[in-house]
Amino acid sequence: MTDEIVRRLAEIVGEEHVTDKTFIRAAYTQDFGVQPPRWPAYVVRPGSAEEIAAVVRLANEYRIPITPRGGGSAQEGGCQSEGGIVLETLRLNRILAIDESAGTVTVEAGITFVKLMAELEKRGWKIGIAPSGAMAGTPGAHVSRPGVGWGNIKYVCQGDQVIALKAVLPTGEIISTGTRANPNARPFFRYALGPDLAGLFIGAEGAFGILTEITLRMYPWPKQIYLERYIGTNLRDAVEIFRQIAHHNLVCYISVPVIEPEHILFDVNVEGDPPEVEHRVQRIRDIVRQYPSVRYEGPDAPSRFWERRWFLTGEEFKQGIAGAVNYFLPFDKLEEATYIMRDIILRHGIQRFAQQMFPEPTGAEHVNLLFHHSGDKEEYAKIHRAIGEMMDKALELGGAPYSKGRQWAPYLEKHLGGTGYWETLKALKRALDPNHIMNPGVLGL
Amino acid sequence: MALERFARYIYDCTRCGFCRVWGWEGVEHVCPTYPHTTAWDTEYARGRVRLARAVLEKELDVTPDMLEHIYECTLCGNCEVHCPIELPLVDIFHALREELAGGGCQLQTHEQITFFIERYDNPYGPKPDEEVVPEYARKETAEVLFFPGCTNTRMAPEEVEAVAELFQGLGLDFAIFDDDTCCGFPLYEIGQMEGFRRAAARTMERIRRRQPKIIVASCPACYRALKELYQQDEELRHDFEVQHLSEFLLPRVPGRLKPLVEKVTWHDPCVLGRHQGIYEEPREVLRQVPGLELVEMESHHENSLCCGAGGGVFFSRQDVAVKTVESRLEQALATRARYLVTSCPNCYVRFRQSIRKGRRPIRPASLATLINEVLKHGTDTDASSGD
Ligand SMILES: Cc1cc2nc3c(=O)[nH]c(=O)nc-3n(C[C@H](O)[C@H](O)[C@H](O)COP(=O)(O)OP(=O)(O)OC[C@H]3O[C@@H](n4cnc5c(N)ncnc54)[C@H](O)[C@@H]3O)c2cc1C
Ligand code: SF4
Ligand code: SF4
Repeated sequence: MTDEIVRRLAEIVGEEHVTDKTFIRAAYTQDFGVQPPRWPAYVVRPGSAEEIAAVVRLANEYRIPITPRGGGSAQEGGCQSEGGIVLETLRLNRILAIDESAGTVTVEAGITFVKLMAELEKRGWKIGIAPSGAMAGTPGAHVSRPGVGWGNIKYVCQGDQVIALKAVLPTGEIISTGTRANPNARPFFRYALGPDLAGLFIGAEGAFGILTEITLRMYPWPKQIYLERYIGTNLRDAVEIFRQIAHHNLVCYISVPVIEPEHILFDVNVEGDPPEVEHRVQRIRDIVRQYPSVRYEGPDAPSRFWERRWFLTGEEFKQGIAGAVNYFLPFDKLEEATYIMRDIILRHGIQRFAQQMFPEPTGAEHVNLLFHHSGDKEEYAKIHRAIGEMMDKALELGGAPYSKGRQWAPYLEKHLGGTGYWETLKALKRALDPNHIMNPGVLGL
Repeated sequence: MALERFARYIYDCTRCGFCRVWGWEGVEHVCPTYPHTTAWDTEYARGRVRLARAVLEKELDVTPDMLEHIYECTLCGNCEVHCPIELPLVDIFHALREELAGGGCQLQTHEQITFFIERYDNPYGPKPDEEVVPEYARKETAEVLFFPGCTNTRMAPEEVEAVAELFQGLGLDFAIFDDDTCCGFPLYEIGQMEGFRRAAARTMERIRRRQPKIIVASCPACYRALKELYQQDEELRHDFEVQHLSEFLLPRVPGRLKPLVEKVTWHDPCVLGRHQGIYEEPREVLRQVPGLELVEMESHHENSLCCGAGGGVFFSRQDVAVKTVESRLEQALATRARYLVTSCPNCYVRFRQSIRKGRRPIRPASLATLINEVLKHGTDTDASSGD
């Protein structure tokens, strides 16, 4: 049967775009995280939505699970498949339309963020949110997680930037959302015609279908982008500053790459016309001034970082591969959670780790990265135990992960199982994916 | 085990995927060959590191297709420059080849060069009757010995002629190595270390007989072999000073060159630039030419795009090599330069071939041919032998 499936897949995507070779599959067993390897039986690289639909129909015919994968740069094992088809979207890498009238850009799901942003920048435009892993990450995946990144306060999350989606459903039909559902309309408004079906895919990580095209909002490139850095010694004060800056919507984003006891480093990024930037920066400084535990460090270091940001974001992983426990919390829970997570990390004897925050308008992403060298099996086992406990704790504290993949699945089921939300998700899954072939196991579905 | 030394780094790869495409800072694709392959993950650095791990752990049987993917890499080093955690990727990929070759795995397409070097001391086969080195440069001893290497001699004899004229024009006491032997680098690149050592020993013995003060090479591979690789081996170690042609010319040409009022662009050969850090010397030499306007391609210096021929790719995957050189040529054409200059016979020959075939409006030139022409004539001369 194996050869038959390869042959059938080749009929759809062309011989050179399908493989069951062991050495190639080896490179599709993991992502950027620490989930144990899972071996797909096949990898396909389709070139269009129609080809994806045909692959999905074939997967139904043979009841083979199918998992979409972009750059494989997420951290929770969402793009892994045990014995199924990994469908890599990287051949879908075009910018389809830059609609300057509507202020939207439509791309294929597998373009990388940096390529998209570089093209927009040439024309004087930008998107709202991009992940730090923009060099490898794809919009198809980022919308599906949905990811956060540079722009979290002003633009919130990639989900918020979505105007329209085109997707292949688990049974192989192709649908469009927002105004795009009207065959005569361009994608220019999300909440129109009927219920917001884009929401079905945002956060689903492929469980409800494979995104093939994405329309995001775009914005005129700001006249000025200004960054400055602060260092604090008191986490509570720092979080209070984040809250005030966020509630007054003063910045594009705040990034807090270092949270250590009595050393909290954060950068603010303000964009706009020069007088507007100056006004916002003054207001930020006024807020900070109320907290003597925080000192001003100036614009030099963050500006240098900003220039090379898409490269430098990868540098912190010189410490090793990271087991990531990233989740949202409201502002008033952040300090407590930081200490609790730190205690768990230390109790498990983890040597190298980083705690960070990326504030949102209503709370913050709380990031915990536990580093190890992947040859070190003992350290790996410790990290696994620690991140399990941390995910459990995060949900207990009222936290919520944006990206779940396979890593969070058992804990989501534990804490959400039996709720109306969980049961509805499951019912939707049964209805839309009767053969249970679309990225099964992701999110715990 | 050759790979064992790099185990730590192999395990450190975070699988971030930054080594595939960039689309930023003048780097379109990190991996020059990847866009011209079937583009599986094993066809750029991240997947190749995964294959290195598989070989290290003896996890997989090495199949011919797996070898193909491993050897589609030109060892250009662009991924190393763009890896945020600075993995020594070229060393890893070289050790992987060494490991495989040591275990008897070899691409069929590489068998011929291995055989030719063993048998004729030259990857291009038996020595042709025609003598490339001019009579006046074929001396037993001289202060300066120019080592042309196999590719210049066999594929770009105009380089050898130009160097002879140039050195004579500069009034030097020089000889050109005319034994037609290869430095062994092609075997080093494909991981055939035993063969490399044997070839290098034979070449070294012939160089020693000549007792030069300085050995000059215009081929970056010969330069690296003589300057660095031989010195790592007890038997091959020597006391000769080794200089790349650009280093050698730099103090010798100022004030002596006639004008050439043309736009010129410089292609950084990977083995010269990224592998040995020589970026400025050739540019400086070109700047000594009055009237010459040096313009950069979109990717240059550390970001330079490989011509596609290195790492044995030219011998194993001509299809990939030909497409890769086209990508680089596009960048050269975009500068609207009149000359595309380099100092690597591999790059030069590929450019020459591609430019001729496509009748492209740019002239390929080597540093030696161009400088020789401006030493002699200056403007209105045809420094290129390629159009
Ligand atoms: C150094 C570094 C820093 C990072 N920083 C951030 C950050 O700041 N914020 C952030 O959000 N992420 C970050 N990431 C993670 C990642 O780069 C992004 O989330 C990126 O968008 C994931 O894209 P991908 O294509 O690599 O995802 P993959 O790993 O390939 O896939 C992720 C998930 O999306 C699903 N998926 C993929 N394509 C589709 C599709 N077309 N339709 C439906 N589902 C799909 C997969 O099944 C999987 O569940 C970082 C990564 C790196 C390497
Ligand atoms: S950039 Fe470096 S760390 Fe990242 S995947 Fe490539 S080789 Fe590995
Ligand atoms: S050395 Fe060059 S060809 Fe080889 S993987 Fe790296 S970038 Fe690609």
